[in-house]
Amino acid sequence: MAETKSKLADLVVDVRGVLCPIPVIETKKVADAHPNQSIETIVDNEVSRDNVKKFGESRQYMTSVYQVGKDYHIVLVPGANTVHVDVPGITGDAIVGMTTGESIYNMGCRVILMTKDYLGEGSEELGRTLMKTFWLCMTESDVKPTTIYFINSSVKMVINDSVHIENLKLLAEQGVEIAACGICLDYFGIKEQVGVGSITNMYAITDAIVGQDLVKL
Amino acid sequence: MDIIILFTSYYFATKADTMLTKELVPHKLMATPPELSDVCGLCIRVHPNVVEMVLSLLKVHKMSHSGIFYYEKGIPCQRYEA
Repeated sequence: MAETKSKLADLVVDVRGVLCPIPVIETKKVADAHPNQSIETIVDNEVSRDNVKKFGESRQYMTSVYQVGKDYHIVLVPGANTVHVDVPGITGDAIVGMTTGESIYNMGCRVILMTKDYLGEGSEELGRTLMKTFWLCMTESDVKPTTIYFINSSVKMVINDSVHIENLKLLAEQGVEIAACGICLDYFGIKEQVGVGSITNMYAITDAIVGQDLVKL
Repeated sequence: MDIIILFTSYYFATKADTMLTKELVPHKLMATPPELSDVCGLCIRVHPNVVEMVLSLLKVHKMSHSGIFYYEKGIPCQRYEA
């Protein structure tokens, strides 16, 4: 992505026409390479707008969002107390929001559907080891899923005795919604042992399957 | 900053994980981080306070490792010296 100077910031990241999570990834690359410079990221959809804004806040940038026609300009200023808002040439705009940096994690666009308590096929033993490392990697990832649903045997991972409970609790603290299927918990007789997240239903899971950017594991 | 103990194989890493769990030693089995290797593998992550105890336990249980490093995400790893 080309980096140029604009009226609003030192560097511009134009990611119009690109879907989430690319706008956040590209913004992050520029922020990592130029930590002391202000960045203007231009996107053309609300999901990317919100995610870039959240990324800026998680990195303690002063963030402001401007709408120009159908596009959104998210301005990230490192370590600033105020943001200059009088910009000639931008007409008919609304300041969508201005926030100070807060310590929140960057939520990506993905919903994860866990369908069993091990990863992959071929060896359950290997799959259970992989699952341990997977959750740990997820807690350390810069971008989190918005929601993780658990169905069938995967619901065993959200109970208090689960080897994964600490990592899942950490993910919940980091803002990830954790939700386990009530039918499945009931089937395994562990509804009273849920240690993290909420108990959900098939309607919510179905809505996620048909309406969201979902990954099944 | 934590300590990472690398293993030569999946078998040794999981065997160490099982042993340390049984011995009630706080640790985490994790994927070898990219700061240490481009190759996918498993390693054990422990607090520096318990590393000597862990190394003793590995020796007692005849488990060999392939290196010990200081680890913090995003920072090049330094080798740990006892």
